[in-house]
Parts: sequence; C-alpha cells; structure tokens
Amino acid sequence: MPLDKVPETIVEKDIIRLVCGETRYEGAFIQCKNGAVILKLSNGYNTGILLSHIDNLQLIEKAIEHNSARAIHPQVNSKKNGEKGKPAPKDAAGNGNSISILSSGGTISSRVEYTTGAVFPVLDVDELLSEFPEIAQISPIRAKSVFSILSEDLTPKHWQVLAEEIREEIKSGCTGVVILHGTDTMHYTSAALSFMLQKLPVPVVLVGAQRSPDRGSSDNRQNLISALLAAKSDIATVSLCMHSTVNDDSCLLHLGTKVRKLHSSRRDAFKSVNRLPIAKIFPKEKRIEPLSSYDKRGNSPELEFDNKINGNVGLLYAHPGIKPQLVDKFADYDGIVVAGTGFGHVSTNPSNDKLALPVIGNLKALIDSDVKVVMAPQTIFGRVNLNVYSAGRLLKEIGVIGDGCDFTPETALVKLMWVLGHEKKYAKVKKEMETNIAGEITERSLLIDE
Amino acid sequence: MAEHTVSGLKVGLEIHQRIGSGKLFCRCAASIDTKKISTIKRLMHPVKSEFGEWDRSARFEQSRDLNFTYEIYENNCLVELDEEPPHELDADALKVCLWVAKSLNCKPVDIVQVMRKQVLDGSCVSGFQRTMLIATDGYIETSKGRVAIQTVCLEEESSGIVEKSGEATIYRLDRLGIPLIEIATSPDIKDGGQAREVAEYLGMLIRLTGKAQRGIGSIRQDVNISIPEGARVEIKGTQELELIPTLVDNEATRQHAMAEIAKKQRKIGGIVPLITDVSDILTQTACKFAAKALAEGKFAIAIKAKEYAGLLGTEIQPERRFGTELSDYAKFYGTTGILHSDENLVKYGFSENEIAEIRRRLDCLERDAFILTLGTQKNAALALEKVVERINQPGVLEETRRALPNGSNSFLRPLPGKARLYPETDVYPIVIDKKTYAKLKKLDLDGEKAKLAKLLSHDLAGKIIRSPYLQLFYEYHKKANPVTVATTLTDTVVALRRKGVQLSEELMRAVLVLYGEGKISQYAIPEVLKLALTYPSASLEEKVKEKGLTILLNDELKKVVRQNEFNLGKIMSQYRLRVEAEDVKKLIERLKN
Repeated sequence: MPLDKVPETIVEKDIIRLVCGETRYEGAFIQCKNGAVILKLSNGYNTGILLSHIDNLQLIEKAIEHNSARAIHPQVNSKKNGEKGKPAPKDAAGNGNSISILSSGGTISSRVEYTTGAVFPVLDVDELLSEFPEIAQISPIRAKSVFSILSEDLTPKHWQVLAEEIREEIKSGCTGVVILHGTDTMHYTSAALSFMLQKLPVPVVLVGAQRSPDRGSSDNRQNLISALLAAKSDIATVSLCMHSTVNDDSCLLHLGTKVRKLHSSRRDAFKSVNRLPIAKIFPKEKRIEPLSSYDKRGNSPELEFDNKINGNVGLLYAHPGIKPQLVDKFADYDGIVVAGTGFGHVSTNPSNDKLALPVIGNLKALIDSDVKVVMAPQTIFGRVNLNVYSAGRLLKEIGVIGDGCDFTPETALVKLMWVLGHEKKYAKVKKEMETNIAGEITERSLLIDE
Repeated sequence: MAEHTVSGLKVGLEIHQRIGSGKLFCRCAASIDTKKISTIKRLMHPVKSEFGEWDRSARFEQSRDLNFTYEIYENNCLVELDEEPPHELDADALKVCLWVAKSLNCKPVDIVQVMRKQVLDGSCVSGFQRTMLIATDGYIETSKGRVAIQTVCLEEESSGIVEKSGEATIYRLDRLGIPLIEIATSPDIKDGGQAREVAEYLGMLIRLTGKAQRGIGSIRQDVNISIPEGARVEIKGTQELELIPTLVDNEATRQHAMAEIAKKQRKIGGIVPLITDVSDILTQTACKFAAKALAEGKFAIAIKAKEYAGLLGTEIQPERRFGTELSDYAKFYGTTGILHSDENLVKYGFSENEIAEIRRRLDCLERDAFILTLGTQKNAALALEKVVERINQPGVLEETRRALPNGSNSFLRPLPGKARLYPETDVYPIVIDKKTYAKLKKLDLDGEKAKLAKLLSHDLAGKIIRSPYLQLFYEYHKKANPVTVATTLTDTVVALRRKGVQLSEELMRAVLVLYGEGKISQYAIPEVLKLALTYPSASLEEKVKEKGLTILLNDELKKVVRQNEFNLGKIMSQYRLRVEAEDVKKLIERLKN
C-alpha cells in the first residue's frame, strides 16, 4: 500500500527510511510537498520521492536540536517593526559615534537555510560582525531591522516609515546611515528618501546585493564595506552604492535620484543616468575617489524632513498601439507619469492616419479633470524635449508637465508622489516638477562615456 | 605490496565523463577550443556551512588569499560568470545520464533536486558547483564479482586552471558548465586490477551513447582508497587507466607506511612549533635557491623536530618520503616547500658548517631533526605552522590527493566535509518520467562487440571499443577499409602518443578523409598524421603532394610497375608509403597477362 501522507509525528530533520520496492532511501526529512517527500540523503543530496512510490516510512532517529540551531532557525531581530520611533541602541561606547545599519530586507540582509534552501532575513550586529569582520576596522555599528520584505513589496508608506527611522538615527547622533535594501526597487526608495530627507547632515547610503550571500562569490561583502566607507565619508547626501563593474574591485556611489537598475542580474546592474556617479570606492584600499561634486558633511547642520507623500500616482508606458481606453483608466489618479517614446511622445496623429490610435485626446481629458500628467523619457538616458516634433508640441499645449527634464520615469513617479503630497494646484505642481529639488534634474547634458 | 591488497583494502571509484551536448545550465557550446575574449577579476570569501560552521575544507582555503582572474571565452555567457541565474537544465544531458544509469541497473529518483556543492578554490566562479542525484542503487558485473553502483549524478564541469602563482590564480572558463556524468561505485573493489576493469567498463559504456566528449581531460577517474589502519583518501585526476593499479598499490603502501610512522610518532610525542630565524647563518651560502630567496628579502626559518632524525627520511611511496609529504603542506601555503636534516643538504649547496650551525641554533642533538623553509615572513611561518600541525596529527588523514605521473600521489587539500551540498533554489525540481525510463534500452557492450567483430578481428574490435574514438570509427568505417580506420584510431594513435605526439580529433579526421577519398595509402597514414601536426594551418592535401606522399594510381602506378620489372618486393621497398600492396599485386597480375 503506497503512503498517502507523512505521519504528523515526523518533523523536519527527523532521520527516516523510505522503502520503495527494492530501493531504500535514508536521510533527513525536509518536507512533504506536492505529493512527494523531500529528503536530504546522507550523501548530502536532496531528492524527492513520490508518496505513491513509498511502501513504508520508518523513523530511524528523532531530530535533535543542533548546537548551532541559531543559524538554522535564526530569530529575527526582536526590534523588528517594534519600538517605532526609537533609535537603535547606541554602540557599546555609548557615544553615538557609530554607523547605523537599517535593514528593509532583500538579498543583502538574507541568509540561506541550507537544508531546505529557504531564504530568511536576518540582521543582528553580532551576526554582521561575524560575517563581515572587516566592519570592525571601519566603524562601530548598530543595526536595526525596519522591515524584512522583498523590495517589490515596498510601498510609498514604507518609504515614509524608513525616512522616519533615518531621522531618529540622525537625531541620536550617528556618523551615517546604511540601508540594506532589495535591489529591485532600491532606486525608487533612494529617490523617495532624497526628497524626504533634504539638507542631510550625514550620509545616507542604500546598498544591496545581486548575488545571494550563501555563495563565496556574493557581491554583498564588497558592497556593504564600500557603503560603510561612504557612510563614514563627508558625502552627506542620499546615495546608492553597488559594484561598478563585473570585477570585484570597486563600487560606485550614485546619487539617489539619478540612478536606475539597468540589468536584471549583473552585479553592476545600477548605473548613474544623465550624470556622473558621486564617487568610486575601493574597499580594499579603503579609498574614495570623488567623480563629481556633492553636498559635504557639516554644510547643513539641520535636517529638512518632509515625508508627506501621495501614493495615488501611476506610471503609463507608451507603446505602439496603446489603447486610448487604457489612458482613461487613470481618471481616478491624482497624477500619472507617462514614460514616453523618444523625446517624450505618445501617439497624437497630426497626419490623421486611419490606422493610428491617438491618445492625446484621452490625456487632455485627464488633465482637464485635474489629473497631473508628467512626461519622462522611456529611453532612460536623455532629456524630454516637447519642442522638436509636433507630437511634443501638441502634448505641451494640452498641459503635459516635464518639458526639458532629464529625470528617469521612476524618479519622476516618486517626485510626483512627493510633490502631490504637498501641492494640488496645477501651476505649483508644474513648477515644482520642473525645478530641481534633489539633483533629479540637471541643467547641462554632459557627454558621459562608460 | 600485495599484502595490503589482502588486508582489507577498500577501493571505490568515481568516474567523471564530460558530455558533449551543450552546457548544462546555459545554451553555450560545450566546446573547449574557442577564442579568449576578456578577463574578469573576482574575490572569493569563505561562507558558513549549513550548520553555521565553517566547513573544514572551506576553512582550509580561508587562510589563503582568494583572488581569482577568470579568462572569458567565446563559449561563455553571463551564467558562467555568475552574473545571471542558470537557465533550464540541458535536456540532452539528462537523457544521456538516465540512459547510462539504466545501463548500470540503477533506480532513478522520482524528483531531481539540483544542489549547490560549495567549492571555494575559485574553480567555480559562483563558489559552488551545480550537481544533482539522478539514480542510485545499481551494479555491474566484473571478472572478480559484482561491484555496486552507489550513485549516478549529473553535474557541471569546473573551470580549468591556467596559472597559480602566490597570491592570484588564473582560471579559464571555456569548460565551466559542461555537463559531467559522475558515477560512484561502492568501495567493493578489491584491488587495483579490478579498479582498472571497472573504470574501463564505465568509460566504454558512456562512450557507447555517442555523446561522450573526447580529448584530454574529458574523462577523469577519482580513486577512493583506504586500508584498515589508514583513512579514506580520494586521489584525483587519473586520466590513464593503466596507472590505476599502481596508484592503488602505492596508496596502500603509503597508508601502511604512514601508520607505521605514526606508531613511532606516538612514542616520541608531538613537536613544538618554536620557529627560529636562521637567515643570518645562510648569508654566504652556496645553495643557489637559498641565496636567491634571501637576496629577495625572504627569510630562512627552521624548527627542531625533537627525536625525529631518520623518521623524516622514511620512504612512504616510490620517490616520496615522509618529508616530501610534509613539504606538500608547506607548498600549499605559498612557500617552495621544506628541507629537512634527513636529506643530503650538501647536495643543495649548503655547507657542513651551515648545517652544523643551524643544528646548534636549534639545540639539536643527534637524534633530533630540523625542518627548514624559505619564504616571506608570513608565508614561511604559516607553512611551518601547517607542517607542525600535520606532524602532530600522526597517521593517515582523510584527504584529497593528486595522482602523480609515476603512480604516486601528493597532498591536494583536506577531504571536503559532507555539509557542502544545499539546494539550488534557482532551478525548479525536475520530475523523472518513469515510463520513459522504463522504455530506455540498455547500452549493450556485448552486442556492440559482436557487431564490431563482423568488421574487425577479435583483437582489433576489443581495442576500438576501449578506445575513446569509437564514434570516429563509426563515422569513417564505411568510407574506407574499416581495419585501417580502426588500426589508425588505436595502434597508430597510441604509438604516436607514446612518442609524445598528441593528436587532435580534427587532425585525425583530416587524415581519415584523405585516406577515405583514396588520396593516400594506408601505409602513409602515420607520416601524414605527423605532417598534419607539423603544418596545422596549411592545406594538408597540398602538403601531402609537396612531400610526395600522394598515392600512386592508374598510369603513374603502371609506370612504376613497369620500371621495376613487375617486382613487387622492389616496388614496395621503394614506394611503400605511396601504394596499396593489394593494388600493386592486382596490377602486376593484370599487366603480366
């Protein structure tokens, strides 16, 4: 009689024997999933045996609590989500002369449970120091887990919480703040923090990892060490620190509003867009090489904090054949960013082509109903220019905002949320959107080669 | 040596054979002769094992500098560079693996879980090698009884080492990710001869699939050996089947010798790691390498091995002594190895005075030995520390060792612990279709032999089925005389290899094509093979003409026959390489009549 289920008395890591006809499998029970028993065999391999093939299941030995159970079932830091508004405990010296590490989740703050392969978040000063002993040579640290979620699950509300946490850390007198973050949406968070935390007295550095920490080749170490060096430096701005190339030798520090993830997997996925990175960091030599000007530590003693945000903003990606009805769906929004083609275009059909599907009328209807429409380039690199082609001129005439801006669609989206958190009037929103606030708009288009 | 083979010698084999389809987890070609296009630099960090502990092998690597340079080739993509997650598993490789497993009477698992095997020597860019268990519990029959097949796995090939110098190691990535079938036997094998038989059988079986990759390094045998008073030792990198019996015997001898030394060591006790700088004694030395090292600012440091005189020089294997063994450990940490007082140090250029002075400095009595090494302060001290560590663990240790050309072996690294495998979460588990497996026809070596026996002599059929070029034979045997094709791919190739001539498959093909097209005689084949090797880029046919090796046909042949007055012997002695004897015979008959 084949087995129909695993007895409930069998728990993870119990040593069991499965009798399947003439074959015996012996190993640690991991789980029963999709009709199969997953077993870690004594040779180290995991394998799945279908319940329907198992004649008999025998318990050989009950699982014992391994002496380093902490690594297997680590306890997520008890400070997680709790004690809102309270700063992380001061470093041992109690003098506040340390770097605050705040975690929001993601690969860089994750660990692998080796038996099952499951990934779990962990952040604990001791663990960080044991994993990255080099930290001790840079600065005392304190650590706090703010969230432990995937970065694609973050919302504008999370940005607000994070900004508050950073403010508390700064208030309590840290040297700088490092934020461990999932890389998927790290550039959205860096943009949001750039608007929320202005005139920073200390550096705020976001850092992530593209390769999981279980592997010897993970980029987590170099990125974290570089981020800590940046947090200790005089670069008092919101920045993002990741590998500069596929080599493990240096990191680039990008301005929070002018950076984007441009590759799904490479360790140098993040690139500065339309400006040079702030600096290049050589972790081995502990050297920071400035590449462009930046706000210096000490220039602004008082933090300007403003985390009001309006999340009712959408992003519309223009494409050939886009349905005009899709545009209408944004009627309930307070604002949208259109990632336009080329200089910032959508179909306007000035030549009255029969097959064309112009959406300009629908955009105009949105604007007329007080939805703020901002144009950003889907080319990522380059600047919106609504004066060159008739499509652009028509869009400008109906009140599309953003002409001349060189922000990325993502930064434009975050900025619009932040601006709409304060302003409702079209003229004021237009002015704020088209004025540089946190480095997101540059005046000069420089020739920047890789 | 025979006494070890009867006293509980246990031998197990692990065969790794590259499969020449595509790479296992990306769609790059499995070829290994593409062009180098770039290099990258990486660092490798030790990571904790699944129980939150540092794996002992990982820990061992941790005390070394982990800088790596990787050469990138045309058949590399972001997957091998650890810049992109794996793509889907190569279906062909899985199919071949299942086919082999079935032929080894194995039972396939229901669900394959791809695992990451931690590898921190840099040979895998990611820090792990992907591997998966495909089938278990099989067997093969040998002349000395049944040998159980424990597991059949499918895994990724690691990258090839280009250069290892002190701080940085250079690897080439062209072969990284090529599928490997790994077959592991139980330690049922009783002696070296049987080990050889099993290795040969497994190699032949995989080659029968027609998917085995050929060429240097495409098949490797790892031999696990232990004797009751020893420990399990894995010897890596045997490529020559002929060497396996010697390797087994020599390792049994080593384990026995080490156990004997250990008995004495236990009586003496351990040695104290008290390191003394003796550089000043050697400032005027006539020993060239010592003088050079000291001139480079390196140090000569030494330790006393109390009551070890005579022990360090004990032979443990052909051409290897206990001291050589210790030297391997020192070399691993970046020094040139160790020298010791059981050696004839005068031979290296040290003076009697210098030796006496070192002994004095270390307070050595006659029964004491000393160990000396040269290196940077950090490396030399570390090396001696490791040497002492090894001495103070008497006996055979579980180790991974490297086969040497003479059948001895040297220390490579500690045997990796078991905690090195954990799930590869980027690849979804693969369900094995049992119905398809049931329908797979077993590879049939006997059937194949019978088929070949119809074309070739029994002896030659045996040779070609053992040869790595069986598939090449099948490609050309219909286009030319099968006996000549088989002889070329076996005897001729082996004879040339013994002379140190390594032939690429491409070259063999080119020559077989010329022969198949009737442009050269069978007797000219060895000469043309050598010619092809000398002029690799030239047109072989042109070169053959130029060197006068083209076959004589029709009018040309008639002319030669007439000139030599129909004397076969005379013609053959003069034109041996340019005619086929049968043709000449027939022509003589015809012209005479």
